[in-house]
Amino acid sequence: MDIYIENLSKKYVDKQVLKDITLWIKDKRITAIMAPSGRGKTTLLRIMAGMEQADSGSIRGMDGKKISMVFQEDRLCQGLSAAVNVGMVCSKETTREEILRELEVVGLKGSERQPVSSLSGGMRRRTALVRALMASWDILILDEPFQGLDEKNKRNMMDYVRKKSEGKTVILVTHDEAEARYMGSELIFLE
Amino acid sequence: MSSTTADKKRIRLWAIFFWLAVWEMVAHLIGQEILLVSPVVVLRRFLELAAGIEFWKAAWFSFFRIAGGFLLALLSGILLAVASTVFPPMRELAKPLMVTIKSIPVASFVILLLIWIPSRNLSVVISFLMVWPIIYTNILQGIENTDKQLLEMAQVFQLSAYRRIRYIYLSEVVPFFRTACSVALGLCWKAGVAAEVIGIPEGSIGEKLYESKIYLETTDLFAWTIAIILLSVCFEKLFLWAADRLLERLTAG
Repeated sequence: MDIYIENLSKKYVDKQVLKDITLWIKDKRITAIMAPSGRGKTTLLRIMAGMEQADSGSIRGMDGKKISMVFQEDRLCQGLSAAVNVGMVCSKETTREEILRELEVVGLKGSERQPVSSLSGGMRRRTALVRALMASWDILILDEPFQGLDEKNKRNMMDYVRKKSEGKTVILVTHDEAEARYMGSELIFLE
Repeated sequence: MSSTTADKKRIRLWAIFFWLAVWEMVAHLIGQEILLVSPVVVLRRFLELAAGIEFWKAAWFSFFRIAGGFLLALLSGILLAVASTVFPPMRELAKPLMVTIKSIPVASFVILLLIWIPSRNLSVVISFLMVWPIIYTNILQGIENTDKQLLEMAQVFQLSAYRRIRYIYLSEVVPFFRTACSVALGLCWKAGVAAEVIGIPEGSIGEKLYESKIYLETTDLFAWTIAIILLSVCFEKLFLWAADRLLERLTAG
């Protein structure tokens, strides 16, 4: 089912972050939401992910759907290993070998058992991406998911996300149009 | 912890020998064992004591009670901190109690408790009372300081309560838990033995210290003090090692 966002508004104290936003996000597609900084893209995602309440407006088509997300920050448990960080969101059926295999695919072989605090920023980002993709999900929300990655890793991770999310609903927020186009996204520009 | 910080915290062997030499020299200058015994004599006496069954009986008597009080306080402090997080009025209720316990001098507790309970159990309660507020306060602080962004992450991924506790709360609370245990482990021995010296339970280390004072056996006083330090340090190391292994297993995938 497509997602319909209608007349969504959100205000923090005296700052209107979102005002009457109306969007249509197609099912089983990658949709990129683009806007300059400070236009409330992250707030919109936070409302969609259930972390915030909108002041007014509605979102249809997300009820009962499982959401997975890559946040702007990595949001990893620093003292735990990459494998454990990924494993904590996986279903009980997911084996440790499967997790290690995925981490190996994104180039984290040999580092999967180290605390993530000892990994580089790029490695942590890749861990966060693997975590989001290995969780059980219907809608994947990506908030600037490739920031902090060098060009080679960025390209690899974009291919990885495309492959893993084929035929599923992905909402991508980015300020990089080339990135959005490479992902094969429908583009939506927030006015 | 970086190796530089670890290096700064480490006590150097040469520094220990320096202070032992100063002690030996001062003892030699004073020349009266009743005032200050030489470290060599103390060591010899300690080994003599350690060769007898009475020493181990007294060590076990005090260890069992002080460590028991510590473990009871640890368990109930953690439970109360969790309850205070889940049910905020509990926190309000616990606050005056914790402030009172922290403010009352150990000696006042000891005298009061001697009226209520047999002296042989005194060190259990005193050890408990010294440790309980420290564990409670630190664990509560650890839970409250849990990264809100991680909790949001758990909300989005719909992690179960079990996974939130195991992976998020546990890893966030561990540094607070370690600090609390480190402080509390030293304190429970100091307060526990002090209580025994006042209450003089038969067969305790406190009783031995008291007898050293009565009979002016300064050598015994020093030897028993070494025993207390060793018991305290060994218990601390063993406990923290076991806690670290347990936490490692809990937070491993």
